[in-house]
Amino acid sequence: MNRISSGQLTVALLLSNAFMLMCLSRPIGMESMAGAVLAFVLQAILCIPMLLLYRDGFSLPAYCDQKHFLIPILLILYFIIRGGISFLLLWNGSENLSLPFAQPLITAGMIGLVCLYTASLGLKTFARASTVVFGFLVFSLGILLLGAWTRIDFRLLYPSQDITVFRSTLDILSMGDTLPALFVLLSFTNGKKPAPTLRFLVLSLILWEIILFLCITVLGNLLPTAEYPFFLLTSVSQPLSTQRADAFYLIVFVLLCVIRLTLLTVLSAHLLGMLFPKLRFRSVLSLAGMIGAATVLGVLGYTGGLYCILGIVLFACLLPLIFLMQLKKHPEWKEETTS
Amino acid sequence: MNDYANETIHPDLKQNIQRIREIADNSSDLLVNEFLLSGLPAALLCCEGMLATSIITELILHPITRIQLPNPTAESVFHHIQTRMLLSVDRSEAKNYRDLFRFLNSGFGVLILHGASSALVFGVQGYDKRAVMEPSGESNIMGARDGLIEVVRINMSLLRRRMKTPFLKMELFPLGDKSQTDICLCYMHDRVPKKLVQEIKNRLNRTELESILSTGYLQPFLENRRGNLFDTASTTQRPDVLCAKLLEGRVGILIDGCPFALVVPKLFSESFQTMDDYCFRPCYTAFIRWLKYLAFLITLLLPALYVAVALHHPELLNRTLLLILAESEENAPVSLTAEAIGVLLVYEIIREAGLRLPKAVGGSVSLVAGLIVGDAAVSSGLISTPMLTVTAIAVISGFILPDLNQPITLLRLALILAGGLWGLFGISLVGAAVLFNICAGESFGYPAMAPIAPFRKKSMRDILTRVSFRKMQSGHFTVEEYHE
Repeated sequence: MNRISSGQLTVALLLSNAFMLMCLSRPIGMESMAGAVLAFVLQAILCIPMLLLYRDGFSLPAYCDQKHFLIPILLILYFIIRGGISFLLLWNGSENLSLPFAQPLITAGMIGLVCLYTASLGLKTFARASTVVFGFLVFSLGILLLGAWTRIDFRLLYPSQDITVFRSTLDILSMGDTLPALFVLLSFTNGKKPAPTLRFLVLSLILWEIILFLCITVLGNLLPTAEYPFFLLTSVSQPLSTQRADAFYLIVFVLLCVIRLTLLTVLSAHLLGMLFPKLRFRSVLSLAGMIGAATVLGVLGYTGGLYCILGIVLFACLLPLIFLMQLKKHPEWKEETTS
Repeated sequence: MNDYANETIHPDLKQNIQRIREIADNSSDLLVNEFLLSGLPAALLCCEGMLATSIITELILHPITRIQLPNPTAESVFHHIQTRMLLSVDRSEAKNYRDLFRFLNSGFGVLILHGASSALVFGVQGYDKRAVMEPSGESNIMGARDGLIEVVRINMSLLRRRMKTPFLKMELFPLGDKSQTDICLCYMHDRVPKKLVQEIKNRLNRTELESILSTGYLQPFLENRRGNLFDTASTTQRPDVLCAKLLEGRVGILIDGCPFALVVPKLFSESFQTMDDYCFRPCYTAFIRWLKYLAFLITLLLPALYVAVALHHPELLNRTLLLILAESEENAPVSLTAEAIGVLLVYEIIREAGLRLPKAVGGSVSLVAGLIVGDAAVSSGLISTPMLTVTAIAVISGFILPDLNQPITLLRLALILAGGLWGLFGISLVGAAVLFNICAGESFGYPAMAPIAPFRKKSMRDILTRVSFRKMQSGHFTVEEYHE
């Protein structure tokens, strides 16, 4: 796996987060904005052990070279399940997009095929493409703001009776599942680790706050009935009176979806490669696993939740903490797990 | 006969000439002029039509036939010629038959002498060549009017006229087993990354080509990945453009017999830049740049978007436009996708016909064919007017970016197909794949998408806009900044 820059790391994770934001289907209220702040502060705290570990020179490839299989296998499973959930979100979300076919399986299959190609090009290509897609995202946000500007009503910013800050925090935390990806990617990132991590969290928070604010102040009474608030927001916020701009968001949605699935595929394929260097078609296996997971989760009717928070806590905080303690106990391990 | 490559030159003149004739298989263009040089049997070999008779007579034959040395030997005569006589400014020595034939067939006069196991060669080339004229492919308004021609040495002189610094280095070497084509590697040795030059040399040395007749023979060896839609090695016909690229630390490759130079590495953003950009006022150039970016999107996406929106997303159109489209497509006999692909294929056929036909008729044939076929197709109802308009706008937009013509042609068709089958979703998917394809493009570690991805803020001064030379003169940009 090639190395990426800290800026590319920030952008890649931000885009992955933005896809989750587009697929947001939880109840939204003013409390959600406070919940988002709390969720990102919590994520920042959870990252501290990870950053301390990397400050000591930890390297995941070096760790895997020592034939430690458990952590990579757990990470692969996590990425495959998250990929499966992303496919599920895509299936559900695609009903809100004007697609020319009704079968969500075709949508997933086609995106899977494209991701197979994009993942085969490697992390470096993925990181470069992320930079361009980030430009699209910023541009689309500009268009969204332009369309929503005149419809913003500050009187709609009032506390909700059904939503609590705690519930919103948990909801948003469960959707911000990129910390385990950050844990892996930091091994392949040039430069200092805390700065891109902090930048990613701050930018993600800003993005969430903008979208939540627009959803609340623009959609107003429509919000409780909206299954996918973001898509409703794009339908309502049209910058031109004679021309609809929905198509642009469809393009951005597909690009973000490809970016997210490519990230998860690249990471799981690479971890598979660390464990089984002779294994071929790793991307195919990862994607097949994700589609399989999506089918099973779809049958079970599960689209994420508390277990995601457990995953985040485990990979971003607990494991690095255990590593740190072990390194303190057994200083001789440091040579084995650092690059 | 093929094992002559490393065979040293025979000291006996008769046997030497016999061996040369044998290797050349008595080729009619091999001229052997035997004479006595200071009493020793000698011969001047040349290739008919490759040298100037007057020059060889005046500069070589006259002076050497007058040489009279006491007790002459082959060694002393050669030593005398090499140290006392200038004869030609381009002189060398051939030790084996491979070198001898390379010089001979490059237009050099070859002097062989009885008793000498080497041959003296004199540059007296005088073959017919095209005059230096304005390049047909890269027209501009304010830039220079001279273009590269087929003779590598003339092309080298065109570069040298613009870059008198000794830092401009030109390395000439033969390549291709049979053609022994002169290849000239040019670079600014104070600017170019050393690893880049070494890697290019290694790759060129590893080629096992029999001949190199155009840039296309070498280009695949200079590109890293297979499956790239966009080139990562560019070509130019203009010496001024080549100089500008060399100043940015790139490497140019001139090929004898080809009026194009290869430039490595190539960035995707360069496809939107011309020499005129640096002659016009910055604000106008910035406007033209953005126009080109827009044209790129139009030429690539417009027909596909038209098909996708009309077929799958009519709700995106306003009422007036929708009515116009519905009315015009009402009587069309084929589907919109087939119509779009058909129109573009016919255009490509007409374009190809115009290119391959003799110039005198090519232009008029394509014009007449386009007009007659287009008019007849619309009036007979085979093609709708909006479709023809959309296609024409897309094609004309493509003319702004001749460098990207090949990938655009293929991608346009793929996007129409995706748009026709799966609407905007299909276009987005193909777009994502193309984006990754461009981002994967890399030449010797230089990403094709630089300076956008990886992003370099400083370079935006020549991407998003074009700042004036007052600002650009500082910094001395080289491509090494983009290396990953």
